[in-house]
Amino acid sequence: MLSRIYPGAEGYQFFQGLSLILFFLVFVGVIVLIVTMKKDHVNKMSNMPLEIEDDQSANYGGHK
Amino acid sequence: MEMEKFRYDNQIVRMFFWATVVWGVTAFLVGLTIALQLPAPWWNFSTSWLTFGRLRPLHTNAAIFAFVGNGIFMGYYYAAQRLLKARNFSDTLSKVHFWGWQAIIVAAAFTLPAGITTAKEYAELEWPIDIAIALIWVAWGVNMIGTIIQRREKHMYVAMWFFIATFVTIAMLHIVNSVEVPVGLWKSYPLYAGVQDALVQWWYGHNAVAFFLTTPYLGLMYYYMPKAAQRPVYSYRLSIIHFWALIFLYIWAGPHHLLYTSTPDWAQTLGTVFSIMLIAPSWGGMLNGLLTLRGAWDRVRQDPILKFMVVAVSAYGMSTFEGPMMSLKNYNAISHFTDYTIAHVHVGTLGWNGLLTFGILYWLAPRLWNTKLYSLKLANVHFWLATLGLIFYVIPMYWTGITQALLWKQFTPEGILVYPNFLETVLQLIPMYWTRAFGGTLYLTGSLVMVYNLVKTARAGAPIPDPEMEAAPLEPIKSIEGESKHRWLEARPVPFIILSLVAVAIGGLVEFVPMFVVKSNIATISTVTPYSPLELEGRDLYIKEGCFNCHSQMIRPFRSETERYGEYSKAGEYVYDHPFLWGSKRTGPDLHREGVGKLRKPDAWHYNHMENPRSMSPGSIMPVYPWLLERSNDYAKLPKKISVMRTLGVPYPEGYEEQALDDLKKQAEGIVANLKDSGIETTWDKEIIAMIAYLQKLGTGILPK
Repeated sequence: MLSRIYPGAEGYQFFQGLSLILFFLVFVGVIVLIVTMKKDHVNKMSNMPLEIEDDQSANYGGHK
Repeated sequence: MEMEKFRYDNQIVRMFFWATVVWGVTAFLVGLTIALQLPAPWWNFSTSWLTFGRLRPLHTNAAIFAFVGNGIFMGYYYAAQRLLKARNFSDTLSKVHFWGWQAIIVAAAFTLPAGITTAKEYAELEWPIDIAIALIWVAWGVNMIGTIIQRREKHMYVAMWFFIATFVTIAMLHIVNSVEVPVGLWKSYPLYAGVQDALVQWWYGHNAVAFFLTTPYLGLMYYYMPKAAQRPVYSYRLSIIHFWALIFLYIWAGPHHLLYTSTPDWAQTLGTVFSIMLIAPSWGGMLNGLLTLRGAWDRVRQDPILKFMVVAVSAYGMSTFEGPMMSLKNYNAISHFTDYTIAHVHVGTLGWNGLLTFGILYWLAPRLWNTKLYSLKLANVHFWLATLGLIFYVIPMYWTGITQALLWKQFTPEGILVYPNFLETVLQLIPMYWTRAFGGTLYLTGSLVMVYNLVKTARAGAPIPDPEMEAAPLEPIKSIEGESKHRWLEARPVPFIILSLVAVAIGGLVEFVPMFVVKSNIATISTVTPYSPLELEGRDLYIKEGCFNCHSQMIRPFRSETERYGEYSKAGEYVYDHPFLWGSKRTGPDLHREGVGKLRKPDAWHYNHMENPRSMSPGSIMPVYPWLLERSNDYAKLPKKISVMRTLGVPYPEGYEEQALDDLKKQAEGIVANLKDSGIETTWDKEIIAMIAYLQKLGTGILPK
């Protein structure tokens, strides 16, 4: 299959295989990362922009 | 725990705020000007620096780097200080960043209309400005990384990841794509030629869209949408997939700009496959943005800021679905080189970038001047003008694009092109060009309403002094038992930056290494010879006048194209093209076989056509170029040009610099004699002579004249 994608790139099978492995590793890795995250951290990070006081003296001009 | 006191720098946010507003209006105004020049070519007032070919790159640079660029920095400087609970690392660097960026924009505003350009889309600026861009970009990066290091918040929020990826990737793209050898202060030739140059350029061009128009704006979306909606981001987990999948996949997709060209098939296939995969993270991000509004949709009806943001994110979803569709070969065969692409990019820029910027400007103004927004009603008026302007812009352009493709490809039952004269297809489009200009007028008018509203808001309030904040200092970062790897990463900026760089570097390496190493990718053709000195000078004039903005030099292997233009283009024909000039849009016909076969025209035809295109092609919308007939070309740099080209691999003989001017003169006098036979008196040193020589060279590499 790789030879169909890379015709003329003889001798680069290792390089091609490596890129394919890296491609899958990224996705599998990211899935593992998010599955193992704890809910309290997820909640904390989700709310981070809202927990920040923008400017303590600011008048928000009608837009809270 | 003892709290630390610090102050945010709001002044730098206000500076970028006004820069965004001013350059936004400028970019829209230049855009409207060139939109009007298509149905009304006289709109350039026969002035060289107002022609479409020179103003089009000014428009794209103003929209991308001036308007959106300042919008990124405005949004970043406000959000990053708050997300990191720290003042910017260095106020001096902030100011260097601001004034340096504005100086670059002003330099672009002078050089591009003067015809100083590298001819590489979105990277047109010449080498001294390229160096300035690299330095100012690094100033921003140092300021950002310094702020991250002295932060008081342990974990970096998703918006910061996107800002980091933007910094790292744009630095990489800019450096690799800008490797060029100077000929003088304002002229250089790129290291790469032909197909290789095209691959590097569209790796850059596509990812300039990805990492300048997309990732930083996703960072802004992840901060400002929750703030405006007062709702947390819908799914933090989804944002992790969104971020890593997006930055990893995007970088591979550049070759989808080169489908059906002379680029090797394997590169085109990679571009298509990764473009299709991009739908997943792009739509994940869009849904994450829209679903952040869950429970707040009732407010969208009243709040113009949320309206701007919702339409912006919807436009992001539309353009990131359409982009992959346009990467399919069957779809691309219709859309490429047509105004369909123009519609697509404007859904992205006017819709996604423009409307999100407007929403953020309206959100920030009351906070930066400690007052209420002057008029919510005017903000609503702006929203509708911008939205209708967008619709009136893109619908006629989609219509135009499909019309062009159909007319170009239409055959009679006998197998003859129905519209063999390209001009016939152009004349069908004029009403749509007027409608597009109307849409642009609405969009510009809306932005002027915004300027009024924001100025009144700022005047009603006063610049809020840098507020004093309190936060606990950051404790030494330690691993916590059982913490997830991503949580670990969010607290460690250096590994995060390195991993981001690895993610974005892989795609480029996989595409570049075979392209540059495997010789069979570009078959050499023995009949293809380097440009003569006069042709080389003519090519530089072609670049200076921006002809490539309207004329492609890439005949795709379709019967409709080979019937119209001749033999399809081969990779080996471009090996001496520093830079490649394939173009991305056909407002006029392809010129790759202009010098051969049925397309070859007498020298006098080109002379008269350049003076006034309508004298030879009634109804043509091409600008006039009378100055080419009047100006004498300066050939002082010719020896240096020959020398640089040889350095880049063009096989001019050693010492040819000494002989080049004599050869140039000899060829020029031949053209002068031809013109004299047609009753035209001119001299060998006029610019038009070099331009004619270049146009007559096109296509002769593999075919007889």
